[in-house]
Amino acid sequence: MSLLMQSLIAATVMFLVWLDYEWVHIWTYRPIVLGPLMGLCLGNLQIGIEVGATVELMFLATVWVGSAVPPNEILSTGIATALAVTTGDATVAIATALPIAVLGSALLTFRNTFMNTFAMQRFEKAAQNADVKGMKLWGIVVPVGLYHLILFVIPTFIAVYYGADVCVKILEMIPAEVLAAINCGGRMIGAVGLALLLKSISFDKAWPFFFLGFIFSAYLGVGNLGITMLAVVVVGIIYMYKEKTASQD
Amino acid sequence: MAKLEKKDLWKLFWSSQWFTVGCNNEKFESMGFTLSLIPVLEKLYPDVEQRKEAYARHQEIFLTEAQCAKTVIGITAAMEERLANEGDIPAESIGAIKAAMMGPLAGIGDTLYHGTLRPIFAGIAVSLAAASGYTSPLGPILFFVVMAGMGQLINWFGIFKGYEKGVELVANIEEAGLIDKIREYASVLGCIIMGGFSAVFVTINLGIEFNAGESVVSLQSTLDSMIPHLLPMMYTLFLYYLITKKKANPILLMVVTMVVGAIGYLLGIFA
Repeated sequence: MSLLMQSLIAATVMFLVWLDYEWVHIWTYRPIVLGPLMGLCLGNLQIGIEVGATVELMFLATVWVGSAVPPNEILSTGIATALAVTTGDATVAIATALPIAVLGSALLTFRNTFMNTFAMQRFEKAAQNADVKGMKLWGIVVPVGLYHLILFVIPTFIAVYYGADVCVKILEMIPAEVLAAINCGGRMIGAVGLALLLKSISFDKAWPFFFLGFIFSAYLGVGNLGITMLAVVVVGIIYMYKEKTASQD
Repeated sequence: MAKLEKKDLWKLFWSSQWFTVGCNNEKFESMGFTLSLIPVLEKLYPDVEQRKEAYARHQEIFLTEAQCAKTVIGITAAMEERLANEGDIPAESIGAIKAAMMGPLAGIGDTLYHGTLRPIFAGIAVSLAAASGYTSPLGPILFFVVMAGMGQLINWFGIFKGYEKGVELVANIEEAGLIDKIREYASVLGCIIMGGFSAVFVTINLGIEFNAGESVVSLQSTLDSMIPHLLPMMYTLFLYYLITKKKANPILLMVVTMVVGAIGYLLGIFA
């Protein structure tokens, strides 16, 4: 597959997952799905799974509540996976994931603040005239078609087409020690997401349970599936206990 | 008199997939909400002047979680139908119901769907992928099927049951304190799982070693023999403290974490 072809495919996949992000929400834009998907389309599923899983870990628990814009893992995973395939090196993903994610969040903030607000004002005029075509133009075609093309699809093409060469050259220049250092930092980032999630699930009201999960995982080595089952059982116990005491009153 | 039939609700189900499109910082999801209602309003108000009025009243600010929003859309469809056919409810009450439901539904959707189920299944998917040496796409496929299926199920439930039960549904949920209960159980479930995740999905190892007589003692293995994975857990809670008590910016924390980790590695503090 030529580099031009790969860049075009990467840009197309990027368009489709952003469409999903605004439309049916079937999660093709999460790193754990987008990585393998991008890898598969570019002809290297395995590296896609590796990048997807690695980036997913960085943003696993990151949940932004309400209207705040999180670092954008979509742009990040898409470009990182494509670069990993074209350069044949998965470490490139770890090094590029966070910077691209921060850039992506800036683009998304720009979109939400200026571009979509502009479209919304046009949309309102159409709505007040009950003009369905106008509503679909400003509500769907412009935001999903035009805006995403400018903000995400074309940049992906450029990054993959021109970036692969540059990435290989930079990677060759960077000492292995520095890549390992970035890797070390990357493995710590997940803690920010976990901390955010703890805030949104009211850690302060259920904190002993956090340590219960930690002990089972750290001391007993129970895997994630096991921890999940444990959590379901504990919720079941609390539910039964509470309902019983409630009915006795 | 136009009645909404099953096929109209299916049209609503599909048009409401556009719910988050064009989300902006001024009115958030008002565009998506209006786009969702197109098939309903087109059918209920054959008169163009009435239709204009109907579209105009949905240009208000609206913000909630995307999947749970479908319940509001279902209920709104029921209310619009009543207004169009019987005219015995004030038009403003539709906006009031929408505004009243935004908060509680966002609470459920963000906590349960995005805050609990998504990280759980993503965590399992990552474990499966890593366990196979990144060769098996089983984990990603599992995540995709479960999460996409669940999302569409919530959408379906919201549109059809929301329409069917209309306003009654909201009243019931709020009365029984169901929302508080769901949040309470979700936080127990989430805390246990995140406790487990903090041990496996964050890695911080100390690289410091010192000489004790003849032998070299690694600080990390000393720590591990007491409390394994202590540092990732402590660091997570420290960040939680910074975010809740010091209102630290999470994006900044991510960048700082990355930089501290990388420099720490180069200095030999981390391994």
